[in-house]
Amino acid sequence: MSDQQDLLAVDDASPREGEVAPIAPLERRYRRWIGLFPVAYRIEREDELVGVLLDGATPDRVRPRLAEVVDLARAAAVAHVRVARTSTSRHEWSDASVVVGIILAVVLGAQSVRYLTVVARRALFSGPHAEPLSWFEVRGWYVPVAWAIVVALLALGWTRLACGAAWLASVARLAAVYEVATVPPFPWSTEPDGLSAAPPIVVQLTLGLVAAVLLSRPRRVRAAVDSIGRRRLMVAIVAFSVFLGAQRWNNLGGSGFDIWVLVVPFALALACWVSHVQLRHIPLDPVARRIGAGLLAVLVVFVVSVAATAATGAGGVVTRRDLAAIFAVGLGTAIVAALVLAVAPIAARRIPFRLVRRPRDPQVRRSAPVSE
Amino acid sequence: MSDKPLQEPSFLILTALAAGPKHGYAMLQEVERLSDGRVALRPGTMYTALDRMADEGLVEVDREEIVDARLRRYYRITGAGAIRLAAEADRLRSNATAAVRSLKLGGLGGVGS
Repeated sequence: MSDQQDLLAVDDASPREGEVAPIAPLERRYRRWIGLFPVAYRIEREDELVGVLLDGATPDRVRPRLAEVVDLARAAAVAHVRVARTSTSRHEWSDASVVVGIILAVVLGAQSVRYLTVVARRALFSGPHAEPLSWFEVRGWYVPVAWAIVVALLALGWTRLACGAAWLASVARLAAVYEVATVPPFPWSTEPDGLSAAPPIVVQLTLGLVAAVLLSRPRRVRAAVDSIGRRRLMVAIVAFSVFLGAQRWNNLGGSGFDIWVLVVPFALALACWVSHVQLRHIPLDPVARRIGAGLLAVLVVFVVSVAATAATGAGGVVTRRDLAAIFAVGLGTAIVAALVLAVAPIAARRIPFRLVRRPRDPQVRRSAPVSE
Repeated sequence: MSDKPLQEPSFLILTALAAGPKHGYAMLQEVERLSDGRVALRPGTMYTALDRMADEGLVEVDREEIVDARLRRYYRITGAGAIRLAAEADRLRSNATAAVRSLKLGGLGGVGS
């Protein structure tokens, strides 16, 4: 009893800067669970809520009761819905959606590199025992090239042309789907290597259409990129590509279950959770959070379209392993992207986090960062 | 204006606040007392209800205090909240009266305890 009281008593002398008051385990655990609430809500309510919970706890308690945890989780869910419904954050969503579109375009365009390397490798090392060039790796080459053009146009700042090219790329993808549907697969591709058959094309068609739609507001592109900063955009793209690349590798590897595909994302998830707990007083930039949400939505589209093509049996077998890998990789990607978006500003921009703009304070919203 | 009946937690919270401003923990205790221990609100549920009522302008923040290094925010009922609570009490009372009357008519006796 006195233990806890003492610890809290230290708290009393309001901590000076740089001096961290010790926190009792129970309080720390309560705060961890309160981490489930939206950031804006926590800024407003965390201390108060902790106070009420501690008031209600018997002195010998060191862990929250299950019922309390359930109660907090439920209230947090309600608060999230409430914030999402009442927030006047249309600009932030719009910026985030454009950025997600850019990331998708880059990922789709990056595949052209893969096509090029495959074709070059086969061309250079063609001997009597050389693997034949798979139709899949040659046909449809124009689609990633189209996406690479979209990315180049975006980089040049010709956003209108980029938007048009994105739609053209989607049309090209349709052509590729048609090609795959009408041209029979190679006789030796009987192995159920699932994702290297038609489904990825259909999935990529979906992703391409999503990207085209998201990029359909060319005027917002620049503002959207500015809103998160080029560096953070780069980091997000790299994080996303690495994980999609990992998934690719897993499929090309063919045999056996690559456990790391599951392990890596979940380890990162754990890291993310830990850092989330540590960083919970540092509010994430609203646009960054929405990009995270957008990527998550894209991954849902991704998984659903893979599942749909698998269910209809369209072109090739998608094994459970593939689905598990996609899910794991997708989850990992979203988490890594979110983590990166959360942490990158500290490293990359070296400006302190702006405090989250409170929903009820319209003047503060979207104010330009104060120059030092 | 919403004429939906207040949910029980909201009703009890408003009732607790009608007697005077209270902080979160005091509200929990008061709600339990008012309901004879029948309703034991948990903090999350209480704040959910409180947020909703604050949105509707039924309650507002009265003041903040730091007690034992804990932030205590006191809430009070607003004019609109008082009107709503009174209307709700009337509604419940008339329902209760109707129920009692109906039971008597049916010869099912009084309502004990």
